[in-house]
Amino acid sequence: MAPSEQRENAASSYTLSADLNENFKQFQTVFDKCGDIQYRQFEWNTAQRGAFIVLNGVGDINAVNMDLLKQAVESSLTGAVQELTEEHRAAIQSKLSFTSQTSWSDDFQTSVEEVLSGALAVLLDGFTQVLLLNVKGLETRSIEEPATEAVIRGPRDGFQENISTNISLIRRRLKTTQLKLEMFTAGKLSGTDIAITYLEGIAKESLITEVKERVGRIQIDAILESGYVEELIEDHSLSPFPQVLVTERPDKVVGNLLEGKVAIIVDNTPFVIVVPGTFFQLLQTPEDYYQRYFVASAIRILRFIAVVSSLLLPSLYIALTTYHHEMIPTMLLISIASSRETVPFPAFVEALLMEVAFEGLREAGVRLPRPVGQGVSIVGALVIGQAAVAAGIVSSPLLIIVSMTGIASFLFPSFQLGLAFRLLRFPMMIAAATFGLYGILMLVLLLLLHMLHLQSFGVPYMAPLSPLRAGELKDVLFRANWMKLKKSPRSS
Amino acid sequence: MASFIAFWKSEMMLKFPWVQPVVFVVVAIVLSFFTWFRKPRQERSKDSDSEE
Amino acid sequence: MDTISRHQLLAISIIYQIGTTIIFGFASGAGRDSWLAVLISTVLGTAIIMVYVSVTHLNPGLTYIECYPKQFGKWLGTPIAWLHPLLFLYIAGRIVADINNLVPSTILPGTPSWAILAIFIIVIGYALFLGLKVMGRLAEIILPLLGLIYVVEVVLILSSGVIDLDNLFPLLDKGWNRVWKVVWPLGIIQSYGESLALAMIWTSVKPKGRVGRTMILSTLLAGSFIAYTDAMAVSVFGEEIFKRATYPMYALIQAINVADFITQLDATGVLYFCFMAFLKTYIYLFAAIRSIQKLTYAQSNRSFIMPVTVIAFVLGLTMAPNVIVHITVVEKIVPYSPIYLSLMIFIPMVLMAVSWLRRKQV
Repeated sequence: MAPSEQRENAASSYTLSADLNENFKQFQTVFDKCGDIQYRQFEWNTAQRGAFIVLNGVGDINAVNMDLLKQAVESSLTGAVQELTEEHRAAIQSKLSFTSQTSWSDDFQTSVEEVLSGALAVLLDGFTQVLLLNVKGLETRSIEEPATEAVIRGPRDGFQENISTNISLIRRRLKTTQLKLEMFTAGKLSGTDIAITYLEGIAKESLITEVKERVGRIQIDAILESGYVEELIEDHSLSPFPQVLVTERPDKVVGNLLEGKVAIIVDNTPFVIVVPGTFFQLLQTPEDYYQRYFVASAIRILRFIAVVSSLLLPSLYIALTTYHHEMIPTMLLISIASSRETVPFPAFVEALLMEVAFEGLREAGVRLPRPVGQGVSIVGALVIGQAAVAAGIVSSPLLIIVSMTGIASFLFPSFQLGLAFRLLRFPMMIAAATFGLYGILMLVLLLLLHMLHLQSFGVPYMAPLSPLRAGELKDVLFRANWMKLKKSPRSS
Repeated sequence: MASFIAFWKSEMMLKFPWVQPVVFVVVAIVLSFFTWFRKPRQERSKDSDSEE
Repeated sequence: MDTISRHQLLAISIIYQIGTTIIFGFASGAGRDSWLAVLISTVLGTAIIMVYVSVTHLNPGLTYIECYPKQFGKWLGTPIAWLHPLLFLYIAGRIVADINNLVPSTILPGTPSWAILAIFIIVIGYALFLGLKVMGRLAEIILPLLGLIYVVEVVLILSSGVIDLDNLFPLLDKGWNRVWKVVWPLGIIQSYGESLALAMIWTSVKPKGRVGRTMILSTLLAGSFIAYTDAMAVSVFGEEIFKRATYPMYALIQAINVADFITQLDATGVLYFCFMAFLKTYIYLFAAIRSIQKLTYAQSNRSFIMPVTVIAFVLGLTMAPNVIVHITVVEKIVPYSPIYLSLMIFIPMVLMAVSWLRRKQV
């Protein structure tokens, strides 16, 4: 692990000395008031002293065989040894290699950082070097189905908080040495591990370099979630549209790695970032590839319809009923008009009320504990909606519209993209209410212009629709037959 | 006279169609002064830059 | 790199050249022979566009207006060059005025004009800010969509049963005179002389070369499209109505009536027009901004976006109190305006000749 220059702390002012007591005191000062630190002193070669330092919980002291350790030290340092030479160190290390990963350090700050990451530090009286054993023993969640991305057909393992587990979930699907893993640390106070993963030879060199550069540039106190990283490396962080793919599913990550994308795994979160992210990618699910050809293509088309309607449906309703009633076929117009007769509000207010209520219910459903939450969303929406119709506050056509819009927004595979569209619905409704279809057209143009302008790590956001690449388009609109898809598209 | 300035209005174009070309040419010549006299400055600064 | 591909140029040109004819019709003065007038204008228009193209070929690396100071000398060439952004601004103002007259009278009665135009201008301003690349992508995507909508429109018109092909005949019974009257000069200026503004984006096309071919293709396609639409309108309405209608194409959409279910689709026609007007205005303002940028040796064009859009807004808002006056100006004044004629037809030819002679000398 690379010692990061950003992490200034009290440790940087200390250096290791040969005297055990002095070293020990320095460690104690730095770890003052850290209740979970454990110290143990021991003796070897009858007269020599040594000490262990480990952070309980992060490092597991029971993972080390103490007898083995003592014996390794004693047998390597026979006789009067003035200084730990290369040979001595190598000898000790090789004897201990059966139990755990070992390394030597002669820098105080590095030793402290290692202890913070779960190493066991061994101090030996008379020598400045510190022996570090990797004894990480963190408690982790067991592997479960990803909470936000369930599938009907497909694997059910999802990423979790431990970066090593996550890496292993990827490794088992790509048993090749082409799968490269470069480790970084970020965050002055958090020291979060970040792994950049890619398939060498498939991912473009320039992309890899760019990603490494952007991650390396991160200057922040702490990285609590991959969302922080996402915002710090994005091209356009002010846009409502996400420019990276975020997922809990290993199979999705692996599928993208095979297409030449780069994955960024952040410790302490199950959400992995994949770059570059384009709009159409955010609309794909891995299940598309597990199901049969026609079914998958049909579902994809359904998804596109959902995307458009989640944005435009309420606005179209408002625009047509307020400004352009002549466009609605007469029979439909009559039934809408009669159901709106009792409603005291104009279409815009009606729609706004219902949409806000729906969003409120949805947010509430997330916050409540699981058994209660489910009930509130469904029951709330239906009951409140029906009651509102019965009371004459809203009309039933509008209730249908709002429900369909809600369902449409559930179809988004990418939660963030769904959020963006959900929110954009409101300005769209305002545009429809003030300027009718003209307003909708203008706002759609504005959004299109914006989306066409976005880039993600050099790839245009709306590729392959624009710049138009008809060849790759077939995999976007339909799911092309495996026969035609033999060549995995290179990210360009 | 003041209404002549707004030569683009349809009424003006219909009544006095010659106003548009005249105004255009006049404005073009006025704006040309920018080009004529900005260029030397640009060249001068470019020259001095390249000399340094 | 603010560049566009050849395909994007094609898309932009087609949309641009079809432009406002989608509502106003083209060469309606020629009655039932209008489609013929359109085709003739297309051929002649192609020739004019080739003049513009060869000017840029003969002066490699320079944008169109920069060729004037280069070939005619600083003192004569610069004012001529400066006339161009002024013309572009004026025409942009005309298009904004078109919106001003069309939208409030058809789909948004009661909404104040300035608000409608303000929205229009703001979106154009944003597009200008984002650069030509984005507009190229937009045109590329929307073109197939426009085509699809048009095909649907044609199908709907056919299903409404209002087409009467007899209206197209007899052909040319009123003689060639009225055909020539609309071809020269209005027909040539309308969509082809106006392509002059497109010349300002040709230098942004990468990969280089073949601009001429793209432009010819676009012109022919656009011309055929307009001719076809004209013919369709005549066959639905007959000659007399077509000649007198303010918005013949808009009337065409109004005629759609399928099984009494799909009717009154006027708004779609207006929206279609709004998009065409959007792109045309964008190109004109872009051309104006780029011309000004080149003529003032400015580093970036950001600072000009604001004043140019405001000017276009004011022009559009104040230009025409009603649509009749507005159209009369186009029919009676514009074709004989010395500015239009000289900048679009005569002077470019002189420029081409001069460039060619100079080339030969070297």
